Amino acid sequence: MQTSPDTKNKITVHTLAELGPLPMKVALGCSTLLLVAFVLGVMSENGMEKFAFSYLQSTFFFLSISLGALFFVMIQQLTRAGWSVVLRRLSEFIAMGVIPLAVLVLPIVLVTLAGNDILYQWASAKNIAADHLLQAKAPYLNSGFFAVRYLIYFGSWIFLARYFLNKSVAQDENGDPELTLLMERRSGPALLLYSFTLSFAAIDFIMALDPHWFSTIFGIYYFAAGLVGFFSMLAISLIYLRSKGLLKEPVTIEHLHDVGKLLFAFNCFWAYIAISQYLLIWYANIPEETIFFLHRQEHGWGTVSLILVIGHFAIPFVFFMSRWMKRNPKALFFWAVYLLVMNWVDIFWLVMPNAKLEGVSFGMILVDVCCTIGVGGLYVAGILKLAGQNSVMPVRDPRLEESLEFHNI
Amino acid sequence: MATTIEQPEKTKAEPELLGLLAEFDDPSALIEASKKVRDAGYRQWDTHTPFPLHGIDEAMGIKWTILPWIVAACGLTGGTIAVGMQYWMNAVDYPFLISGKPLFSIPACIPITFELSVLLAAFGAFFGMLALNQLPKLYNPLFKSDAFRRATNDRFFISMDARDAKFSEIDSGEFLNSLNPLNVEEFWSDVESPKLPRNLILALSLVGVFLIIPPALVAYKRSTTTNNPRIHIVPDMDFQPSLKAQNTTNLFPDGREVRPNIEGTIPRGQYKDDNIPFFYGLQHLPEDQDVIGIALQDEKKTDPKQADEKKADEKKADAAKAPAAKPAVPDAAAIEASRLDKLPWVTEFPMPVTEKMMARGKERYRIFCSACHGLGGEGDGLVTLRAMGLLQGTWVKPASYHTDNVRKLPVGRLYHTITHGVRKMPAYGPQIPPEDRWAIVLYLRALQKSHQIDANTIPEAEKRKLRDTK
Repeated sequence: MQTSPDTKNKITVHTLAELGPLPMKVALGCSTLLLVAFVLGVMSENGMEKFAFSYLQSTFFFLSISLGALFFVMIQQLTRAGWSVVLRRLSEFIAMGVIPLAVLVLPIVLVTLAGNDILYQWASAKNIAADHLLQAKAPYLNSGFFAVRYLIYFGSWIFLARYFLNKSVAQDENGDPELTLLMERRSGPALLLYSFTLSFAAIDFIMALDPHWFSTIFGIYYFAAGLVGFFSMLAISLIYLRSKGLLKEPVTIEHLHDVGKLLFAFNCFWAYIAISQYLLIWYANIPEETIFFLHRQEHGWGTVSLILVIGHFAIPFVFFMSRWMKRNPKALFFWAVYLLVMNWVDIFWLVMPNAKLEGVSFGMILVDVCCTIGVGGLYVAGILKLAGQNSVMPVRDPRLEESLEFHNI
Repeated sequence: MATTIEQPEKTKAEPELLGLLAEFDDPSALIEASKKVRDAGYRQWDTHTPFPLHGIDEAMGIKWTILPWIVAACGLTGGTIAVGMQYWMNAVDYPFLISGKPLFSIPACIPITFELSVLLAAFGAFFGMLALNQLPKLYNPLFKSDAFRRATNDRFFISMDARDAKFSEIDSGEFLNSLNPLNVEEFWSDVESPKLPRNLILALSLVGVFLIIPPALVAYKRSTTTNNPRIHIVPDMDFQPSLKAQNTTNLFPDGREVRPNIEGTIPRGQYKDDNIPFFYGLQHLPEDQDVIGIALQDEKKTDPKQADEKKADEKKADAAKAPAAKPAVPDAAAIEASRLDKLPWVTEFPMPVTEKMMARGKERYRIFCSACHGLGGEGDGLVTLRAMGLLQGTWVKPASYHTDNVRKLPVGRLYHTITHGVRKMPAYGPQIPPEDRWAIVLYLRALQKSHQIDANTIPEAEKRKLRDTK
């Protein structure tokens, strides 16, 4: 497809600021629930434990979404994708969510650095002294190195998210096609950095909650979960923005269809990774590995596991497969919200059983939901703030024309 | 031109009008023209473009493809075959228990089910697409048109089939001309059917001949015998350098592959001297330690020849003869028996006796002992019954527990018998851990008691239970 030299004349620039102050107010309003969760945690029995794990779960739920967005942005540049240009800027905004999240995760790192073992057993010298395995793993699992790695991970992600957003925004101004080529060249090494940091972050922050257990596929499991979360989030935001009149012209049913296809595909990918992890552990039947699934079959966690198998995979696989579901904005919106909730349950299932609490309880879920909404409020507010006055679409991308003309058939 | 039809011989088929071909030089013109052809009600026609054209499906009025349904059906078939096959193979046709795992379980089935579903779905998609497009089509009469060659380069065509109900040479030609094409031409069927080139036929027959060779070789090898040893495809697996039990090796000076315990060491978990009653069934260790390891041998040592004779004149050999031959000379076995009798056996269980221990003993007894000794301990297990039925003569019937001799034996002695064996009974020490051996002794005692109990001592409730049991 040929590109027109200056598409800016034809397309009016929209910004998220046109939504008015309401979204920001709602987001900040929601963030007060974080305090509610904290108070609930303080008041109830084992409350601090509930709150700490819920907080970790909430931040890493939103982190998975932002990391999914970062991956999407880079892979689009790397593959010279044309179709996705109209929705790439929105993905760049979502990827910027790593900045508020870096601040939100900081307390977890500080608490660990102070030697508190509420989340991580290996943070306290007393636990290490009592456990041979923790001693053996101490060169890696120690709070100092943990804090350094936190800086590396979030530093890398913030750098990548800002780099791809800033270059893309710069192109809005000067329309220089060289920037597209530059981003294409940079996205390869960037993806390498991304995959290493993501895998190790998943291992450090979630897998290390149980330092005795290990799974080599854990990083990619978190990655798969994140992509499901991101495509759900993308579909929800696109449909919301279209309903508010932003992106209504450029983003057509065809684009929504493709986002739906990717959401469906990565949901299957998630299931594939999940069964790959389960199958090997189940088949080898070694106690030190099966302990992970044993925890998740007892004290009500079995129900949550089944919800994941049936709700996260089987139901969407059967009902979301149809073309009609993905081409109908209302149906797509439903499935996106549904799978976002399922992604939340997935991270809940990964994190919460590690808390030394007896099974799933209503109190735990209540604290967790409040915490998630609270963290989510800050997360969305941060994204809105960082998006600022930038256009919601890369208006002078050389492949914009191709994206505007995109047809599935 | 029309006069040439006057040909005398009618043997050759006349060329037949197959349809019309309209040529356009840009995609939007083709789409506009297609819409008109569609609206005019033609059904058997097609468009030809050098690249996939967005919107042509709609312009031609092509119905949504049924391919997804074919793919879904193939995928479901694959999944069903995979699950069915695995169930039939693993649970029905050749059940093979591996370390207590279930014969059929869903997680183990998932990889193959997934692969086969995907495979058949992909076949369905690929071959379904070919079939729906009527491919492969090696020849099309359109290929004869020189103009049509540019269909893969920069021209766009509409071809209209003469078999269409609405088709007529003149009307359709006029209609196509009204669409503003570059030109419209007719295309005709061939007078002679096209023939395959000779070289191709030769090459294909050669390939065919070569293809026969492997199955022919297989058939030949299968129907003949050979003196050559088999081919070892993976010699490293067939001849492993690892040492095996009961073999010799040059690696160690004594030539044994199985290594003895190192002098002055005790294997892990084998230190027994801190609890002699528990591990040996003795109050204290005797001076002569060799006695402990004695497994009492059969008192009547009959060599195989005698056994054969015995079998031959079985009718003569009546019951009275056998005991008469028994107490011949006080042989080695009798001496050992007396030495064993003198050992200081424990008479009480060296641990607290619990309900749990009894249950464990019952379970272990049924696993290890009942096959020969029978569920009730009368020495009538299934193996015994079968061996007696075969009349082999080498089988020594296991002792019943319900004789005064066995009843009088101290528990330590019973424990020793399980550990080291007696007569034909092998040692079970290596297989059954000490606590389980004691549990079995406990259950054995219970069996003995059950055969010799005064009805008056049984509580009324138990009696009722016994009466009701059928």
